[in-house]
Order: sequence, then structure tokens, then C-alpha cells
Amino acid sequence: MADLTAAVSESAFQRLFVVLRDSIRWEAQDSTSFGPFTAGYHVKGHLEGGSVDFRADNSILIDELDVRWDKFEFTLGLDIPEICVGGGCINMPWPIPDICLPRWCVFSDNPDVSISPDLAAFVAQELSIAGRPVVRYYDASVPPPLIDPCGLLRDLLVNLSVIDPFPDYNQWHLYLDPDFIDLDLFDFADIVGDLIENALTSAVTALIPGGWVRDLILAIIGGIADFIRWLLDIPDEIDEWLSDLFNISFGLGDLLIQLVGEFFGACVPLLRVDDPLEILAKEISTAVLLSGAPVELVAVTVPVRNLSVRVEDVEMVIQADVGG
Amino acid sequence: MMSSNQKQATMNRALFTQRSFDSGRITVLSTLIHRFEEAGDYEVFISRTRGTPLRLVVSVVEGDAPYQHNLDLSTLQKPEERECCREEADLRLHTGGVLGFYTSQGVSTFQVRIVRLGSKEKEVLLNHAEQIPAGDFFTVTPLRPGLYRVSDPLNKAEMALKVVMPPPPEEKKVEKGTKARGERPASTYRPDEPMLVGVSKKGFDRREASLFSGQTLVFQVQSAARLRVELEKEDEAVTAPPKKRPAKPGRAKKQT
Repeated sequence: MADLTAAVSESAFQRLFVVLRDSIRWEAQDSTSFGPFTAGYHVKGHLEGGSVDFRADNSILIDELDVRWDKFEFTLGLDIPEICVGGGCINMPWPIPDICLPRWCVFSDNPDVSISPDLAAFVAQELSIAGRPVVRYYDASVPPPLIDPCGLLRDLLVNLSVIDPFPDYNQWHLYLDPDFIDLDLFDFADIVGDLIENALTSAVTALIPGGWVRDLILAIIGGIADFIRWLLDIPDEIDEWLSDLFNISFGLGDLLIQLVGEFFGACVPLLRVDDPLEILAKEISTAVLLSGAPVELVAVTVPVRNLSVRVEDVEMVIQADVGG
Repeated sequence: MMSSNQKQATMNRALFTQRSFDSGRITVLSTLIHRFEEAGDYEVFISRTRGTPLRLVVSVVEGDAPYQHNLDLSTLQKPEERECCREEADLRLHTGGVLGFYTSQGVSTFQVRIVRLGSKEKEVLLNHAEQIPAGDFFTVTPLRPGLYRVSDPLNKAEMALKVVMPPPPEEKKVEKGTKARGERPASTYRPDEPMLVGVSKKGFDRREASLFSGQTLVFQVQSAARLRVELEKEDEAVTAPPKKRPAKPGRAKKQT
């Protein structure tokens, strides 16, 4: 039978979780070239909300975490190809060869047009984590690994005073090892598609001179909106294309899932228990010795062995042996 | 928040200022096409406005050689000094093949003279500043909409050319899921559909022609000709700047 047993209620765990949840902030940027266009993003975000549910199968479900985007800047750049007149071939009777004519092109360079709308207000996602508590022993005498994937994140949180640094003494660490992390797919509303289409159309329109020259160019390219769709190789609606871009090409959701998984599962412990555990703090008594020096009571610590955690329906139970 | 930025597009503005064409000089939107009927070596002299002529040697052969070359005169290197005696071929053409001369950009005009090499007396096959010989072609690609007068003083011929704006694209919303991936939306206008007009001693083979702006009129010269295509009347409906609306009279203030 364990020497030490402690129980953590759901609401206490919730408070514990909220502190860590609020410390999760991310920033990422990337861009990819797709031939005639480039697409990129620069995002910043954090988590809000979320309810903790202890489950009888020794797991914890953190449900309905809101992914809040503080910045969701999407950059789309177009290289407009040449727009040409003339050209074509005329079929001539033998012995004259068929004659192909030169073309004259309006844009001799590739003019770049780029837009960078911030879509933060239009992106709403929820994230859920289900995982099991995992106990790991932190041995302060073991030097940290040369490549520590968590080091950067932990240093950042320490610098922000969100967490305490790992101490120079041993500890038991409790992590939440995710079984699954479920993040809603990026799903942009029609209004976002319209926003991007209108912005691109305005930017391309601004490149083209006015009057009959514009009418002629529009006749060649078949209208700016269609021209843009052709350049971007968009089969359907722009909002669907944008969703695919973030879900598949950029894999931003996977990035977020990986971040949250590593945060809770490997980098930042939910709970720490010192080993040895101080059960009576050092105390300087008001009593004095015959010499006149104050009486100093040293801290009472006990070694903690075999710490284990299990989750029950309503509470999380922590047990350990003491001493030995 | 929305931000956008764009690099200033490099426009080929010379294309939009061209109002007339003359077979005596090659400008943007016009092409001279010479057909080499016989095998042999030829000297081609290309003169830019007030410039030293560039000399090319064209070898016309029966063997394996292309039937057509189009030379963009605006990209040819300017010679440092007049060349005279080099005889290795710059270009090879199949007998009966054609050499096209055009300039893709700029406002320079060019003239071309072709001389046959090898004969004791220099045989000038083409000096288009004077006339285009039978068997050659001259093309124009007018952009500015309007009515053009096409004339050939050598054959005392005239015809009218009407250049109209292309039909506007259909402004209809593409239905969801109907567009095939990567397929360019169909346009009703094809600039690459040229029209052929014959020029003979009897004149042009038609009295009038109509083109969409950006399409090419190809003159097939059957009797030596000097061709001019001049804008006589602009289509003001499309080329005139929009008229300013008269200012609305101010609304009288309500008195209280």
C-alpha cells in the first residue's frame, strides 16, 4: 500500500490546466511557390476556453479549446504572364510553306501583384485533446540532451515567468500524453473567398492601363476574375481552394497539433513533485539557545519513490512511497 | 486589414501608339516576310533608324533546314562597325522557306535589303524601302479601333479596314464544381487568327475587311507593292476619354 496518496479534483486540475493553456502561444510563417503564384502565411495564435473531463478509463479529455488567431496574414502573389496579340499561322498552298506570325506582348516582364489580407477574424477552430497521465522522473544530475526539442519552448516560457525552470534537484513530472488531438480543419467562409478575389482583381486592374487598352486586354484574358482563377488553377470556389491550401499544402493544422502534443506530452509538465519532498519547511524559531543564537529548525524532507497517477471518474489520484 | 503591393508593370507602350503602317519600314505590329525561292547564299542588311546596318548571311539549302525563321530586329546586336566579308551562315533555311522580320518593342523603324551572294553582279532581291517584290508578305496587327485606309500606290489599289474592339467576355459566374481543373476559361476572342488578303496588279482581292483589334492582316504580294495602312478615323466610342458628368446641382438646405 502506498505511503502517500493525494487526490486532485477536476476543478483543481482545470485551474492547473488554465495556467499552462494561457502560456501556449505560437507564431509561424512559411511560403511556397506554385509556379505562376506564391502563397504564404504569417500567423500568431493562442488557446482559450476548454473544459476538463476526467474519465473512468484513466484518461483526461480537454474539450472545446478555442484556437484564437491573433494574426492570420495570408499572402498571395501572382506573376502575371505575358498578354499577347497577333500570332497564329496561315495555311498556304504548296509550294509555299505555312507561315507563322510573330506575337506582340503587352507585359514584357512578369509584373508581380501581391495581397496580404489578415483573415484572423474569419478563422474559427476548436481543438480537443484526450490523453493519459504519464509520470517521468527528472534526474537533475543528468545533463540535458544535446538536441532538446523542448528546450527552446521551455526557455521561452521561463523567460516569460510562465513556468519555473527545471531545478537543480530531482523531481517527479506529470505529463498529459495525448492519445489524440482533434483540430477542426481550416474552413474559410464564402466571404473570405470574395475578399481575396476582390483584392486580387483590384490589384491586377490597377496594373492595366485604362480606356480601350484595358478593354482589349480584358477581351484577351477573358475577364480579370477568370484570368486570376486560371492563374491560381482554382477548380471551384476560392474559399475551398484556400481551405485546401492551409489544410493540405501548408499543413498548418498538423503544425498546431504537433505543437500542442509536444507541449503537454513532452515539454511542460502539468504537475511537479520534488524528490526529496519537503514536508516541513526550514524554520527559525523565536526561541534562543543559551549562547543567544536563534534556534534553527532544518527542513524535513522525505524521498519519494514509485510515484504513480491514475485518473478516475471524478478525481486524479497520485500515490507514492515515501522513504526507503 | 488588407494590404497589397505591386511592382510597376513594364508595358510595351509602343504597341498602343502605332496609328499607321508602311511596308517601307518595319515598326512594331508589322512584319515583312521574304520567301527564298532558290538555294544559295544571301546577304541580309538590316538598318535601324540612323544606325549602322547589321549584316547577316542566310544560307538557303535543299537539305535539312527549317522552313521559317522570324527575326526580332529589336533584339539583334548592334554592329560596332560595318561588316563586309564574312561568309559563314548565320541562318539556314530550306529552299522555298521564309524569313520574317519584325520588331517586338520600341519605336525604332527598320529597313531590310537582301542581296544574293556569288553572282558577279550583286542581285538585289529585296529592298522593301522601295517596294515589296512579288512572292513576299507584309503583315499589320492594328490595335487601335477605327477605320483604316489601306493603299498600294504601285498597283493603284485601295481598300478599307475596319478594326473593332473584341467582344466583351461573358460575365457569368462559374457554377460550383463545373470547372475542370486547370482549364482556361473559353474566350470568344482569338487574336491568333490572321486574315489573308491578296495584292496583285488588279489591286486588293477585296474592297474592305474587318478585324478585331489585335488580329493580323496578312498581305500576300502577287505583284510588287508598296503598302500603307493609315488610321483615318478613330472609333471614338472606345478611344475617347470618358466625358465628365455635369456637376449635380446642390440640394437646397431645409430651413428649420
